[in-house]
Parts: sequence; structure tokens; C-alpha cells
Amino acid sequence: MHRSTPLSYDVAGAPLDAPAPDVWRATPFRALWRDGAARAALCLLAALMLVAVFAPWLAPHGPGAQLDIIGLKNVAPSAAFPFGTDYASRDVLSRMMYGTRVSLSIAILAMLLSTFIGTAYGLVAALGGRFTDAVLMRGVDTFLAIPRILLLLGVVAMWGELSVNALIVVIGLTGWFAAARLVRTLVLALRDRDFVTAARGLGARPSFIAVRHILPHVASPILVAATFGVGAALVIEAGLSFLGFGIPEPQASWGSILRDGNGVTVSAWWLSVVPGAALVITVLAVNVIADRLRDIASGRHLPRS
Amino acid sequence: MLALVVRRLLLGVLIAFLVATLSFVLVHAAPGEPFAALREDARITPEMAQRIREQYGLDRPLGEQYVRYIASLARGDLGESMLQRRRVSSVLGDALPNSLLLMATALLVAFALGVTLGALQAYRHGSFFDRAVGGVSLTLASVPEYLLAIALLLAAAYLLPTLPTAGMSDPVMWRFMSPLQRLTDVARHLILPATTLVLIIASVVARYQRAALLDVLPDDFVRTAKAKGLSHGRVLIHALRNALLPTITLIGLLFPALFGGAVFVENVFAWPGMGRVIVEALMARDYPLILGCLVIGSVFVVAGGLVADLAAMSADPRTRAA
Repeated sequence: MHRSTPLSYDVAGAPLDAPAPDVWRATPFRALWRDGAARAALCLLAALMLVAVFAPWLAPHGPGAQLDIIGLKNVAPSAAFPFGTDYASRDVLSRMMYGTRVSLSIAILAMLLSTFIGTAYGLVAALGGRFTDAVLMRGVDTFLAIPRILLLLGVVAMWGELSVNALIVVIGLTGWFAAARLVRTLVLALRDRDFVTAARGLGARPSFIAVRHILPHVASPILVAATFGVGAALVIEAGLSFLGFGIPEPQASWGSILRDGNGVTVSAWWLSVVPGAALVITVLAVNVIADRLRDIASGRHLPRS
Repeated sequence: MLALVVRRLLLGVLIAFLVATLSFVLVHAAPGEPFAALREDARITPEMAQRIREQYGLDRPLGEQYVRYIASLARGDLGESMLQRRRVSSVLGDALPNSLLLMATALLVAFALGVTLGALQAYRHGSFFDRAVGGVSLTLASVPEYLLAIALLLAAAYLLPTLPTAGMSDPVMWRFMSPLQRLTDVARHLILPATTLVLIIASVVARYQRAALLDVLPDDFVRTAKAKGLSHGRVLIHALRNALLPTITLIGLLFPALFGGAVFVENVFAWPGMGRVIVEALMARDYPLILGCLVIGSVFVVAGGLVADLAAMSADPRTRAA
């Protein structure tokens, strides 16, 4: 009743009825949404995600359904089959929808796996002392010296036919070398900064310092690299399927539809053009988002003062 | 300088050794064994299977197999291909020159094209030309090489139907051609696969060259050159010499991508190189040939990086003096 300060003010002096601090504004996503190209890319990816999730309800046929092996073999696009049919009389539109599921989930999960491994490896190399660093980095040099597709082909072919899960693991396990190098370089630059020394002086354990003090500072470059990583994983999965070492028939991924079109590129062009266009547009969208995220992380989206 | 070269060489040997070890582990950790398929063949008795295993040394302990493998590698012996019943070295000896012809042609053209485009882009910074080339090269960065190859194949089928789209030479007419005709025949077959690789590499090179030149153009020595009254072209060349260094280093970093791209391009255009050999070897589970491809491919990538590094060093007066 007789308080000298009104209740409607909090400790810091801001009126309580003022709008709450906007968490949304603090994240990079708002800046991303403001950019026209990035917004279009985000919408496209959201639409693809919906197709992937609801493929069984959206697709007119099953991914392996052979409709009429004699009459509907390699039929050109028409009203009934907007993307045509393939050599086994399967509806390409349905296969593309189920393929979106396979391709996107492999790309995203493989990226998560390789980002996790790369970040952990880079942290250990940078903080583990000179000897550990030298040994770990020679390992990365070795892996980077082998073309990724050779390494993948080696693993995939040796281990025989792979399920989707195994493919995720294999692609994830061959995609973390560049991320490890990036994280190591970033962490080396931070390692001797005062706030790290202070944390060490206060008796924090190395693992605590790495996760709570250093990791937040390298989060945005990792986010950018991981976004580019989704595009790379999409391309590499489609490439593997294209060469015939991807997911087993009759499951579909964009790459395996491309493979069905290989050899009949001219006569059954839709088998190459449809998955090819989907792949290029998706990778382009992912790369646009990664590119804008990089600008945002470096503060280049802010008005110049 | 010499110490640097020696260090770099030793690192290359170490990496080659690690690659060989990694490939060996990969092959022997895989489920199934090299001659699993033979067991299903009713004509093969257990004794015969055992004899084949002995012939390839597969009955020995793993450690011994590893030592023997590394020792024979060090002698340059890659073993015998199970599929082709020839020495792995002779299979690769046939395929590697074809791959090198494709990659070297693509690299040379792409380097020249990329540096020129990048330099012109930087020189006309912000112009329509700069933005157009930049847009195209960014788009190309999102196109996988196998798709670009398919697109070129389709375009050629409609626009240039006489251009060969498969193989390295005309299978029928080759026997009746004069040396000069043979040369043009190979060159014509080279156009599509090489163009695919050129477009991809040149777009990367152009982006780096543009950035490198933009870094150098505001420098004092460029202003001095302008102040002395040199023509625009001379100033550009003067600045370019200083901006070439990062691009030469980039070439070395591009070798793994170039090799990986060649694997796809060779398979689309049926170019008889390493990329086709490795896919065939993998399909047939031809273990010695797979190992050979992995090791030789990696050695070439490492050697390419080494050459690019040495070129960058000798082009840079700062390291040349050291």
C-alpha cells in the first residue's frame, strides 16, 4: 500500500507491462527470414519436408508398385503420370515423393552425425596438447587425401548392400574431416583468451571449459558449415545411388531414379531431368541459406554505421 | 626451401602409408570374405577353395598378410586382379593414362579460363559482367558433376548429334585412321567429359581468383604502377602475378575433388579410365584391384597436392629465399 516504488517496475527499472524481450529476434532465423532469397529457400525446404513426412498419403502409388509392366514401361509425362513412369512401369512422381523422404533424412541425419564427430574431434585436437594434436591432424590429412567418393565406394561396396540407416552412418562417418579441421582452427584461436584462462583459474574442468566456454563461441561457424554439409550429403548420397551403390531396390532415392535414367538419357529424359532438377534446386536452396547464415554470423547483414 | 620440400615429401610418404593401411583395414574388416561367391559354385570342392585361398595368401594370420601387403606395395607390386586375371599394375597402367589425359586437359583449360574470368570480374568489380559470371559460378557450385555431365549429354544429343558421347575413340574406324585422324578422334571424344570437369573447376578457380585480386588491387604497388602511367592491361597483369599464389595453392586442394569428379564423369561418358575400373572392380568385389585403385588414386592426389605446393613455393619469392 505504501510502497515507494510502483509494483509495475521490475528490479532493472523496466516497466513490467513493456513487451517481453523478443527471444525470436536474438536468433539468426529472423534475419534469415528478412532476406528474400533465404525466405524462398526456407519455404521450399519446408514444403519438401512436408512431402517427405506425408509421402504415403500424398503419393498416388507405392514406391515399388509396378503398374503395368508391358503397357506402362517408360511412359512420357502425361496427366495421369505427371513425371512419367520408369523401366519397371513405376510412377516416377510417387517414387520422387518417397525418394524425398529417403534423400532428405539421409542428408540431414548424416550431417548431424558428421558435425557431432567433427566438433568433438576438433575440440580434442585443439585442447589435448601438442602430441595429440599432431597425431589426430595427420589422421585427418590422410582422410582428406582420399577423394571422399573413393572412400565411400570402398566402404559401401565392401560391406555389401546397405540399409538406409547404414548409409546414414557411412556418409556421416566420411563427412567430418573438414569440420574437424575448422573447429580445431577456431578453438586454437580461442584457447589462450582471457576468459578461458579465467575459467581455468577458477578450477573448471577441461571438459566443462570446452563445452560451456569455448563451444558457444564457435557455434555459428559450425552452423554454417553444417548447413553446407546438408547439401554435400545430398549430393554424395545421390551420387552413390547413381553409381549403383546406394539404397537397395525397390526403395527410391533421388539418386536411384537418376540411375534408372542412365543409359536412356535421351529417350526417357524425365528420369534424369526430374530428380536432377529436384537435386539442384534443393542443394541451391540449402547453399543460399548457408551463405546468408554466414553473412549473418559475420554481422554483414547489419546496416553499416 | 630444400628442408621444406623434404618435409613435404616425407609427409606425402606417411600419408600414402596410412592410406594403404586404412584400405587394408577396410577390406579385412568388411563382413564376408573375398571368395565367398566361390562357395556357392557347386563345381568348386572345399579343397579347391582352400587352394585358391592359399594362392592369395588369405589363409595366413592377418598380421602376416598386412606385413606382406605393405612389403609388396613398397616394391611396387599391387598383386593380381581376380576379375581380369592380369597384374593390377597392368590394369591400372592401361587406365591411369586415360584418366590423367582427361584430368590434365580439364585442369589446364579450367585454370586458364578461371583465372581469366576471375581477373576480369575483379577488374570490372560490380559490373553486370561480374555479377553474371558470379551468379553462374555459384549456381555451378550447387550442381553435382554427374548431373552436369547428364545435362551436357542431353544438350549434345539435341544440338550437336555428331559429337561422340561415349568412349575414347571410334571402335570401328580406329583401325583405318592415320595418326592425325586418331588424334582428332580422341580430342573429339574428350570434348564432353573434359567440358564437364572444366565448368566445375573453372567456377571454383574464378571465385578464388576474383577474391584474391580484389585483395591485391588496393595495394600500394598497384597504385604506383598506375601512377607511373602503365596501361590498364599492364597494371592488371602486374597485380595478377601477386594474386596468383592462393589460386595455385587452391589447385592442390582441388585434386581430391577433381579425381572424385572424374569417377562420375568417366562413368557417364564411358571414358576408359580409373573411375570405370574402380566401379567395375567394386561390382565384382575384386579386392586386389579395389585396394590398388584406392592406393594409387590417393597417391596421385597426394602427389598432385605436393606439386601444387612446390609450384606455389617457387612462385613466392618469400619462401624461395628461405
